[in-house]
Amino acid sequence: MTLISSLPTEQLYRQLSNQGLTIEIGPFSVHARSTIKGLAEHFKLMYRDCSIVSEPFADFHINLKRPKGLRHLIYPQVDFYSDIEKPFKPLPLNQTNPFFEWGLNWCIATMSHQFLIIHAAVVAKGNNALLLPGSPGAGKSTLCAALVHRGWRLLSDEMALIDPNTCSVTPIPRPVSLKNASIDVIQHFEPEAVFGPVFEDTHKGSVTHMKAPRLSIQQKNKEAIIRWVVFPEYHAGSMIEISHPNPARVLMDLVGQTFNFGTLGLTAFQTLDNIVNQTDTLHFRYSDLEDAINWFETLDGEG
Amino acid sequence: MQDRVWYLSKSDTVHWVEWADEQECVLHMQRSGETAVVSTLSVAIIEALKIQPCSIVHLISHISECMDESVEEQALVLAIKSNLTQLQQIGAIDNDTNFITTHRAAVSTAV
Repeated sequence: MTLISSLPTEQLYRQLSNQGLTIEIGPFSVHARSTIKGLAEHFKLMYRDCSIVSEPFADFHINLKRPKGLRHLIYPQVDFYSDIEKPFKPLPLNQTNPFFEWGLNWCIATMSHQFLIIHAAVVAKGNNALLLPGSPGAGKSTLCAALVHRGWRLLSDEMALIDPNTCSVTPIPRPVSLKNASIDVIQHFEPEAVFGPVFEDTHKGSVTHMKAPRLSIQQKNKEAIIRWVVFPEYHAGSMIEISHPNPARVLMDLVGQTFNFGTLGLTAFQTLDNIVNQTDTLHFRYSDLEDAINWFETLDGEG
Repeated sequence: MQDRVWYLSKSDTVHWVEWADEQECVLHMQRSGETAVVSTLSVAIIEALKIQPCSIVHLISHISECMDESVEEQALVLAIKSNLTQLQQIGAIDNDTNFITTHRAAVSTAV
């Protein structure tokens, strides 16, 4: 297996802009093409520990290219294609890298119905997975980024891929997307982590990516069983507060965070019911990241 | 409402989950995908209608048998009516009046 890191950026760029490049990202093979140089640099930095796939098959075919016409001379833009479909309006050219990540999220969420897909960060200790579902701003990516630098394995920053039969989570260790205030928080928390450039003025505000730890990528085939479901809530100035919501409300919250609940229907309902019944579920309010991470260590100790 | 006969939806299948010592359950309609939190009383109504369609009078009699004697009948009637309305909105149950009304509307539209 050839790793992305073994290719010089120039060669990576040539391959991306000609025939394209297929890389293994979690359980998926993703074929990417683009003549935009920034994407080659993004791959080189963020996906350096991922393998290049030589087989012609790919789960997703992604192409990022500049729109045709004269507009690009004044206002350079980039289009995202999945096969021949263009599901989004173009974005400014300097947002190509986050566009790739958002577009790949869309591909997975709309086409991978072998999994129940919950909008959640997932980390694991051994075979025990901790699910962190939450609305944007709840602090799940911040917690996730911090936890993976304190001994937890990254399974996903954005979406939990759950086998409906076993409730196990298939890892898809990708760059962790950090936004706005959480960028400084994590850069201060873990200065040794690998960060990409900061993209200002995106529709989510300022965005940067933190590379997934190498060990998490190397263990991408190691599934984990959901043991805890924690709904985080960042609340400035708050001490750590734990509450145990009733199971009906937990189930409904999970329904609300499941991308393909409507598609999977009863299977999704039964899977979420199993998750609620076999896990410890709680609401977790916090403000201080170090305190929060220390609390999660005690959670592990209960095992 | 008093003399209507209530029955489980014929066009959809209702599933639900409940937990010991919890007052709230979650109900899921297989075809429509509608999912909602309902009370344990709603589940008791569904279980009664699963045995056979019946009027509210029969529902009250059936359910009050399983209830604490301290529950006032008037309060139970109000609660059952409110739960019937919610279950109908979710699409879990229907009543014969609604059936006739719907069919009359369909016939008059066709004519």
